[in-house]
Amino acid sequence: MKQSIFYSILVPVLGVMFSLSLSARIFTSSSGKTIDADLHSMEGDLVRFKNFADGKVYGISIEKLSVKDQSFVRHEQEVGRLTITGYKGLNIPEVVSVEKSQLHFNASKRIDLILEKYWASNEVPPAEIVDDATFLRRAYLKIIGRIPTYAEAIHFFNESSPSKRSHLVDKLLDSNGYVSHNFNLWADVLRVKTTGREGSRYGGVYYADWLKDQIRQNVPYDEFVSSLLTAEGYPWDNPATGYYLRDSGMPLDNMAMTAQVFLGTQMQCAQCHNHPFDKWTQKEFYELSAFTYGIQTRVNINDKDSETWPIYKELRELAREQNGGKQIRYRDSPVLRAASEFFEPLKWGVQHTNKKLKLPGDYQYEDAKPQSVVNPNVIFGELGEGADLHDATARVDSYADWLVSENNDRFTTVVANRLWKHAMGKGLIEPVDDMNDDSVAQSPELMELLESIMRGVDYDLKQYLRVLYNTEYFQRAAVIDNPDLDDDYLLQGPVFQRMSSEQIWDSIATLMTPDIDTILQQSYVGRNRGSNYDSRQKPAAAVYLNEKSSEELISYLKKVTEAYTRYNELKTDAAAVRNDPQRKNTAEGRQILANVRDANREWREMLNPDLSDDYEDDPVGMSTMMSNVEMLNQSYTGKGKNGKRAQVKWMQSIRRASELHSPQANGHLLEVFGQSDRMLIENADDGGNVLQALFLMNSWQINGLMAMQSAPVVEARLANTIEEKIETLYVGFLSRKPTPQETEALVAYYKKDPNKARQRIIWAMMNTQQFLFIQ
Amino acid sequence: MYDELQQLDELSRRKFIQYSAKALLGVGLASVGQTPLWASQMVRKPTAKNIIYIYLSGGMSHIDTFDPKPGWQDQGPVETIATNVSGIRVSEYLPSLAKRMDKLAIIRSMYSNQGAHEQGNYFMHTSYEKRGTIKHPGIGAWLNSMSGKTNSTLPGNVRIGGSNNAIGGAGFLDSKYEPLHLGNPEEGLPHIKRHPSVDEIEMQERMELARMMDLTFHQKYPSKKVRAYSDVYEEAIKLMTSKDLEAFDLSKEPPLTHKLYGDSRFGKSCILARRLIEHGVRCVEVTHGGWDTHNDNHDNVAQLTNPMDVGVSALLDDLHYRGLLDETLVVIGTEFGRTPELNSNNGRNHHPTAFTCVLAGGGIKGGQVYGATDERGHSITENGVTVPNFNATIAYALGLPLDKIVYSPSGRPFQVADKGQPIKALF
Repeated sequence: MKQSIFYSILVPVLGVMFSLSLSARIFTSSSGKTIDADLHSMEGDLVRFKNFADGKVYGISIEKLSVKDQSFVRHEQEVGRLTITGYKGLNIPEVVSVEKSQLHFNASKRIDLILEKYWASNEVPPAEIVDDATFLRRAYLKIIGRIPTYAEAIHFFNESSPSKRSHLVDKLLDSNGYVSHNFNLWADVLRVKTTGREGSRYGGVYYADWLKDQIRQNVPYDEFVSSLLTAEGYPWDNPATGYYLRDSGMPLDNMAMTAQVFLGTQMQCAQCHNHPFDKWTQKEFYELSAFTYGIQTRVNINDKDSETWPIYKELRELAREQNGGKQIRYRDSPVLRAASEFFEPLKWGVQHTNKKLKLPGDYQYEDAKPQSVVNPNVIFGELGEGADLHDATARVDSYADWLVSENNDRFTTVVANRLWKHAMGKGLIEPVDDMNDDSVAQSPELMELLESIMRGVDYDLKQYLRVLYNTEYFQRAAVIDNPDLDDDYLLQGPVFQRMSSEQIWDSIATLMTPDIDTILQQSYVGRNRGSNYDSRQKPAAAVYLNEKSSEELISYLKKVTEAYTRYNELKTDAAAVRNDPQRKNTAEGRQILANVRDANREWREMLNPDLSDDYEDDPVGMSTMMSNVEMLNQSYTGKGKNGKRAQVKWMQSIRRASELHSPQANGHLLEVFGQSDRMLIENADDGGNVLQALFLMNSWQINGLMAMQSAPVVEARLANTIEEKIETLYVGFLSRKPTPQETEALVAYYKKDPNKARQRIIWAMMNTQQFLFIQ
Repeated sequence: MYDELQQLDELSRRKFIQYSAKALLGVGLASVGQTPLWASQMVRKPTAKNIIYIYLSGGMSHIDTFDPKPGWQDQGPVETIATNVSGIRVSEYLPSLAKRMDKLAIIRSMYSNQGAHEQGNYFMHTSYEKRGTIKHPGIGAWLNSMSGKTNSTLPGNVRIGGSNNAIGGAGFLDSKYEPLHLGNPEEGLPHIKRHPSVDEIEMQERMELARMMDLTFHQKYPSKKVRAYSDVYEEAIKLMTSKDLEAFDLSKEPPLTHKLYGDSRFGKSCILARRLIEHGVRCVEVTHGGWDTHNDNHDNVAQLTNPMDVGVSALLDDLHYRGLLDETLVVIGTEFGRTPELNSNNGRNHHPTAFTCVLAGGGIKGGQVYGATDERGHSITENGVTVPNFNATIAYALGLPLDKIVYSPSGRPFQVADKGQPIKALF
C-alpha cells in the first residue's frame, strides 16, 4: 500500500467542534436585523431564542420579530410544535455532520501550496480572491445547489468573524441542501429514475430515497459502492438493488456502467469486439462480467422455490375448478390473470445465482472458442485473499471487495477526481470516466495528494469536500475554460460554469419558498400496470404474502378477480365510446366513461390498499408552502379559473428537484434547462435554447409570480427607502448589492412608478446571464 | 483522416472530434440551396427535402390493415377491398387510403429482431439496438445536422403527440437538433407571446436594463457559453415576431380543411405537420399511439385506423394539391406487426418476424407493393427488409450520405442507418 501523504499530516486527530445551528430558518427582527439564534420556546408573547455562539437563552417579544417570522412562530405555536417547554422543530431527518477537525485545514493548505508551485512553473498568475458576495453565491450553489435567500445573504454579510467563509462551508455541508445537491450528482451518474418501468417495477422510487439517505448519513463511499454491487432482494427491502434492477435484462451493459462509473474505465466497445483505442480485449470484458452474470433481476413467482409457490398451487387448482375441472391456460383464467397483476411487483428483485456466462456465438479471436464458458477474472491487480469464485453470493462479495479496495488505485482516483470536478468545475483528468494507462492529470502532484486525502479520510466524501471547499483555491474567481483551445486553462481558479438545470430550478424555488430545503416530502409515486410503488410502504403483494394466511389471501384474490374482470369488460365499451365523437358527448357516453373510471379505481384500490398508518396529515414543510398558495389566491390577477388552477398547481408542486420525479417530463423547466434524461451516465446539458429564453422572458412565473410574490419582493416591502428596496431585490435575486451607478439609474425610475419599476428590475435580473452562471 | 486521428493521443483526439463535430454540423454553415456540405459523399440528388413520419406506436397489426389474409382462419371479421391499383387489396378499415393506393408504396416484408416496445421503437427510430452507453440520433436530427435548416425561423425538427420519452431525438449529436416536442397540436409553442403586462416598448426597456446589469459581467467573462445565450435571446425574439409562427395556429385553416382531416387529435396533428413543412420545418414526426392490441384486436384496430385513414388521406391530397408531395416523404412506421393467431382475448400479440410499413411522396413510386408474407402473414416469402434498410431508404430519399462515418463525442463511429442499404426499387 502506498504511504499516504495525508496520514503524516493527520496524526493525532483532535476534534475541535464548532457549535453549529441545524435550524433551517434565519429569524429577522422587525428592524431587519438577523437573529443569530435558534428558536427555543414560547411563553405568552415572549419568544425565546438560543444563541448560536454561547448557547444562552433569551426572550424577544413577538412584535419585535419581522412580520413573516411572527406568522411563522404563531403557526408553529398553533400546530403544537412550539410550547413553553420547547420547540420540536420541523420534523426533518438529521443530516449527519462530520468531525470539524482543525487538522483538515492543513490538507486544504497543502492543495494551495501545490497549486502555487504549479502556477509558478507555468508562469501564470492565479485568479484573484473573490469578494464576499461572489463567494457567498458560489458556496451556496456549489455546496447545496441553490442561491442563498435574502436572509441568508444578509446574515453572511453582517458576520464579522475572519473565518466566516469557513463557517459558512461547515454550515452548508451539514444542511439538507447538501443532501439534495449531492443526490443530483449521483442520480445523474447512476441514472436513477423514478419514472417509467425503472421507477416502478425496477424499484427506482425506493432506490432514489435510499440514495438520499446514504448522503444524509454520510456513508463512506467504499461502503456505499459495496452496498450497490452486492445488493440482493426486493427493492423495498434492500433499495440498493436498484443498481442492478436499473439495467434489468442487460447484465453486460450494467457491467460496462460499473467499470465506467467506479473505475473510470470504458469497456463497452469490448462488449462486441476488442477495444479499438484501449488495451481491453473482448475476453477481458467477459471475464469481468462473469462475476455478476449470475445476478438475476427477474423472479419467477411460479417457481417451486419461490415464496408464492404454495399460493399459486392453490390458485391453479381453483382455476381448474372454475373451468369445470379441465386444465386451463394461464391467460385464459381470470383468477390467474388477476393474481398475476396483483403479484406483479414480486416479479422483479435481485437474486444471486450460479448462471454461467458464455462467449458469444460470433466470438472471433483465437484465445477462446465461441460459446465457451468464461471464468471470472479482474482487470486490474488481484482479488483479495480468500476470494471465493464458486458460491453465488461469495463470488459477488469477492468482486465487490476487490473493486472498492484501497489497493485498486483507479477506484480512488476516479472518486477523488470526480468530486474535485464537482467542487471546481473540471476534473484534473478529463473525462472523469474514461481513463487509461496513459491518462495524465493536469497536475499529477495534486492528483496524488487528492487521492491520499481521499484514503486519509477513509472515503468520507463530506470530509473530503470540506477539505476542497476550505482551500483558498475555492475562493478564487472563476476562470473560462475554452474547450476549443487545448492549453489555455491552467488551474488559475475554479472553472466558470453555467448553473446546472437543477441549480436553476432550485434557485427559482428558493426565490418563491425560502425554506425550500425543509420541504422533504417527495412528490413521486411509481406506477406500473395497476400497481403503485410508494417509497413509504411496501407493495400490498409483499405485505399480504407475509401477513395473511393462504386462505385469507385466496379469498382476497377472488375479490381482486371480480374487480379486474368488471374493469376489463367496461374498458372495451369505453374504448368504443372514446373513439366515436358522436357518442362521446352524449349522456350515455359520459356514463360509460364514468363507469370505467369507477371500475378502474376500484380495481386499483384492491391492488394498492392503503397499508400505512403513519402518513402525516401535515407533511413536513407543507404549512409554509400552503401559506404561499393562500397568498397567491388573495392576489391573483389573471383571468379565468383554469389559469388560476394551473398556477396554484404549479405553486404546490414547487419542491427541490431532488424531491420531484427524476427525470422531469418534457416541457418541465428542469428538462428545458437540460436535466439529464437519465438514459446515459452524466447526460445533463448546459447549453442554451430558445425555450429557455421564452420561459424567462414571457412566462407568468417570471412576470407574475416572481415580480409580485417572490420572497425578495415581500422583503422589499418592509424596507423604508427606495435605495433599500432596490438593494433588497438585488441581494435576493443576484446575491450582491447594486453598484452606485445601478442604484442611481434605478432610483429615479423607481420614484416615477414603483410598481412598474419593481417588475422591470426583477424581469431584467432573471434575464441576465449573471443569474445563470457561477462566477 | 481517420488513420491520422488514431495516432493522436486520446484526449486531443477526443477534442478534435468534438470540435469538428461542432464545426461541421453547425447550422448556418450549410443550408439547402447552397452546395450541400456532404457533396463529395452524396450518392445522388435527393428526391425529398422534407419528411413527415407518422409513427404508430404499439405495433400495427399488418394483417388487419395493409397486408390482409382473406383465406386465413384467424383473419377475423375484417373484409378486404380493392384499391385504385388493380391487383392490390387492403383491409376494409382503410377505405380512403385504398382510393389513394397509386400514391403509396407498401412494404409488406419488414422484419426486426426486437420484440419489446421500447427496444423495437428505438431500433425503428435509430437503426441501432438500444444500448445503455450511447444515445443514437433519429432521422430528424441526422437530416438537420447533415443538410442544414432552411431559412425558416422555426426549429428544423418537431415532434407532435406521443409520450415525453423521446426516442430518436438528437442522440449524441448537438442538442440543438433535439426535436421540439408539442404534446397537443392545438396549443402551439409555450410562452411564445409577450406577457400581457409587457408591451413592445417595455420589452425593449427590460432587455436594455438586463444588458446594463450584465455590462461588467460580460466584460469579465467573454465566454462562448455566455455569448451563446445572447444568440439564444436573439433567436427567441426573432421567433416571437416571426411570421412563420402562424404555422402553429390551426385556426388559420378553413373549416373544410378541419373536416377533411377528421375531428381527431391525429387529424389536427397532420394539419400542423403540413403547416410546419410549408414553413420550412424539415422533419415532423406525428405519433399515433394505442396499437398494442392484445385485447379485442379488431374493435381496437377499426377505431385506430379510422383517424389514420382519414388523416393521412387528407394529408396526401393536401400535399399533392400544394405541390409539396414530390418534395415531402411521408412515412408510416411501427415497431412490429401482430401475430396471425388470435389469443384468448381476441387480441394479437407482438410479431417482429413480419410487418408492414408504408412510404409515399418524396420520389417514391406509388401504386406498388414490395415484398410479401405467407398465407398467414407469419413469415416473409420474398424481399425481406431489415429496419436499417428501411431507414437507409428514407435517408437515401433525403439525400443523406449513407456511408459517411460520424463520430460521437466519445469517439465511436456511427452511420445514418447503421450499415443499411436503400431499396432502390421503391423509387
